[in-house]
Amino acid sequence: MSRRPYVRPMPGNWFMKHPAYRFYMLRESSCVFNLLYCINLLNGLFKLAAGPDAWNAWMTMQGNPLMVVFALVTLGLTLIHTITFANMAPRVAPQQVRKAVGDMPIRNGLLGGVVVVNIVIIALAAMGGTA
Amino acid sequence: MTDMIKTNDRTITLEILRYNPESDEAPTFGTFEIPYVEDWSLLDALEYIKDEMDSSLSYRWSCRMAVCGSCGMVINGKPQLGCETFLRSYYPEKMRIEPLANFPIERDLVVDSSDFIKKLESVKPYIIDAVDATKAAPKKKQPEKTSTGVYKQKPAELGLYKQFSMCINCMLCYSACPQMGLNPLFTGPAALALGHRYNLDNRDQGADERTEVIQDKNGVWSCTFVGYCSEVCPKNVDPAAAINQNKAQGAQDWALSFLMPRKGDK
Amino acid sequence: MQVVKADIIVVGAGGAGLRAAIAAAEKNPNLDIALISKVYPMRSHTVAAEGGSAGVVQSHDSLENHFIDTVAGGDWLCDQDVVDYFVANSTEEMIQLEHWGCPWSRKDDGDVNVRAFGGMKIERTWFAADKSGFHMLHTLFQTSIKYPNIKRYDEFYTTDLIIEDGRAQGVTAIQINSGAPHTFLGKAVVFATGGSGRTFRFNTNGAIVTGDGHAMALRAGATLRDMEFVQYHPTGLPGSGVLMTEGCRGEGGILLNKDGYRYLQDYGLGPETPVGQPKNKHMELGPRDKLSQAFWQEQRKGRTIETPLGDAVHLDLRHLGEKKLMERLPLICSLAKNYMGVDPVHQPVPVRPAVHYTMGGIRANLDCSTSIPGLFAVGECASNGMHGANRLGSNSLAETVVFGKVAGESAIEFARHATQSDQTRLLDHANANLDRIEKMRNANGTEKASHIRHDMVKTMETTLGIYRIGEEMQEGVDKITELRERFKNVKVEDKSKVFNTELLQAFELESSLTVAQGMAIGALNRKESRGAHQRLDGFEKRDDENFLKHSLITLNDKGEATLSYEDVNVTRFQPAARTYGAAAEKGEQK
Repeated sequence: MSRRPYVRPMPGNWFMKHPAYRFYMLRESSCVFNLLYCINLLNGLFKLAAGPDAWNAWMTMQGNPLMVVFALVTLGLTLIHTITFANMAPRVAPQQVRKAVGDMPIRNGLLGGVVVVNIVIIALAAMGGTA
Repeated sequence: MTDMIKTNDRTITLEILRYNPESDEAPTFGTFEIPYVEDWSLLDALEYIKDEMDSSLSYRWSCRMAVCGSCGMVINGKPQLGCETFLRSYYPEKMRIEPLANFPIERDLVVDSSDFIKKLESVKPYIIDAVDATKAAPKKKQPEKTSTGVYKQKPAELGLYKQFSMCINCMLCYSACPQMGLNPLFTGPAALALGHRYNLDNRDQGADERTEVIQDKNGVWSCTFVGYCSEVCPKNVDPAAAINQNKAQGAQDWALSFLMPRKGDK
Repeated sequence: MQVVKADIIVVGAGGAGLRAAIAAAEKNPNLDIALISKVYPMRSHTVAAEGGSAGVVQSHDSLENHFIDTVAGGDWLCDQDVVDYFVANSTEEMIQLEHWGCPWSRKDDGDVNVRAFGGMKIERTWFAADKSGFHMLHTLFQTSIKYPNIKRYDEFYTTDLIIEDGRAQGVTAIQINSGAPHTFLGKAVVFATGGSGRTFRFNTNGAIVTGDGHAMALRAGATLRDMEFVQYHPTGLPGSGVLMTEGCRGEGGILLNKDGYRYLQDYGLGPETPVGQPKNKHMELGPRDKLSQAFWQEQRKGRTIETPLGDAVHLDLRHLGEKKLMERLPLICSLAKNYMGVDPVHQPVPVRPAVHYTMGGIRANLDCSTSIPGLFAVGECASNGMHGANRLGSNSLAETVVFGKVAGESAIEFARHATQSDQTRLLDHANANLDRIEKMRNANGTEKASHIRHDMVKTMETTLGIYRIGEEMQEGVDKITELRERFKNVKVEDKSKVFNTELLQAFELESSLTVAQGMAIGALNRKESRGAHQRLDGFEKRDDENFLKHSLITLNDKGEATLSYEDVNVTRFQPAARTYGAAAEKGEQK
């Protein structure tokens, strides 16, 4: 038998080898940051329950430049994830729905929903702050 | 071919991954400097090399018009059809040509595609009508026939599956998919899209028979929606959509199986 | 040597081969069918057919209309019994394909849609946008997977027939990925090996269309027929030859010369029809031979358009509008953009005639049997007399399935009565064939196969073009003979086994040279003009008295091609003047 098919190894860092893969990893990495940020928020909630000193210390920690950077990175990645999610959503919708509605309404509907929810939350927060 | 070469001395460099299993331990790049002709596709360039420089160069090609699916290769890192790739898009930079990724290399730019064919066959890519569907009573109503004798299929019903019937089996999506490299048992984008094509056809009753393969852990659930498969698809089949529509459907069926055991029982 | 035993062996897995295999599998699920192809089935050149497939469906159409269009289109060189059978069965086959899932384009009410095509009096061309061959091939391939008794041998290159006891009883082949020689033994062999357009330089065909089946059959003692009739498709892209379907004109596309003038009206196809209102058998919907000849005349008059890739005329589709183009001709639009940088929505597409189809082939009867018992031929490789001297567009896709089914069933029927000869004798033949493979692999002459090929395609283009002259054709015959001599001294540099495409190309070139010789000899000796064979040297007229005959090529004892003729089966439609446009209407009124 003269055949000897050559199987190329899959490199451990395959996700660094191609722009499409790097972007995919960036998109997926948002979940790590979101998880960490949720832990941070949860921690804040506990601190709030533990009394004003603990709460103030937590608040001060949020102002730490490292924490600000962390928050900004999380925000950026979350935005990337939101947009890519909206872009991909029409392709997950049942084909019947996708054909009937079209891609843009599904995508824009989702993004619109995100904007509305954010406005409501920010408004509530602002009202809570003034009350 | 050769008489198309105009009398100028512009050249372009092609680096081609070479592998001859009878003499090489592992693939290595070979370099060819060839005349630069503006109208040439990569296939024209490869033909020039084979005819004039190195007759042992092996690659697949046929139709030259992006419909037979033979000439998929990786060009400067991107899976593309050789016939649709033109030297002018790269000149004066060099081009780096490799066989499709995630397949064993048979020789030079030729990959072993037998596994791909088996996967295509595994999704039962043919009309299964009510008589053929053995596992369950037909869920869909068989369309009525027209006076011509064909099954009625309105343009919208045709439109539902049309894009998924456009696949030319060029395997670029398999080369683009990292999950394919990580899990060679993954049924893969083209085959799953083909199964989906038949499931969406109003003449077909075979969805249940395809579920086993499509909803398997090596079926749609091996996909993480990298989405690059759809980007490289030369025919806009969007196999990622086919796969992820099936994930949504599968998840829904799974949930329903708790709520309504009979309805969701698949 | 590996030996594979089957009941039926089908060589070629394009439209005709797949249909034959399916027909055989359905007829007798207990028989083993070996389906051998040098490429994966979906790479077969059926895939490139664009426009559609003919089958009468409309109430104001009739089988007789289709019959008349086909026979007149073929300039009366058709076997009229074969055409009768074809038109009577093609609609049923189109419906069968529909039941198998072929995504034919539809009308709003869900019934199948048909489009106009060149030389057809009434719209009867079933289409799947402009990828009809692609969808037919994939439908057939995918359907064939259903049948467990069809065993495919993908990427096996068949080199020779095994003839014993005067019957075809097998083939020898190379498994391409390993180089391993294989012998297939069966009781009947079906050849569905496609055409031979790659013998010409400028063609619409894929790399694989090299006439392998023609040459194998001829070597084994079969007869080739009507090889001089080579169809030029009027609209290929300059440079590449990529096909712009006749469906472009069926949908209303027009052809313009450099003055923007619809020149076809000057060549018996007029009067000019209003733009966007195509009229059957008029102007752009004339038959392919006439349209290609009109291009040649315009070129000679200096009225074609000079492009960097050679002279061309314009195929103007702009008036169809983007929506219709995207719905009906999406592939055309992307091909024009990719290969010419022209967007048909906004610009006319430069086109010129390109070799497209071999009307002739292995002489076959209505039941696809050939002059070798046990060997059946179907599709482009066969000449059953369907197309005569000029094929009408959309008749060949239909032919693949109508006669594919016939071939499969005929082979089953033959196999039922046949017994296999003594195996040792068969294997002796096989071994002789396999020696030929090794001899080719070890060919150590001084000639480069690729250079012989370049010379061949150039010779065929210059001496056997749209119009032909005796002197030039003689030159062609001499040159091809010389190239065949040179080929005896060929060198195959690559001696390896795995995927040795140089070796396969050498075999293919040998086949193409054989076919080219048949074409050249047939053409030189046909001293008349008929269909796709048009002469300019005193034989400009059709000569029914002397040449209402099929030409036949066989090999004599010394392996030399010899020419003879046989009568044409004319049943009820006597030869008449072949007219289109207003002249045809006048003729009908009489």
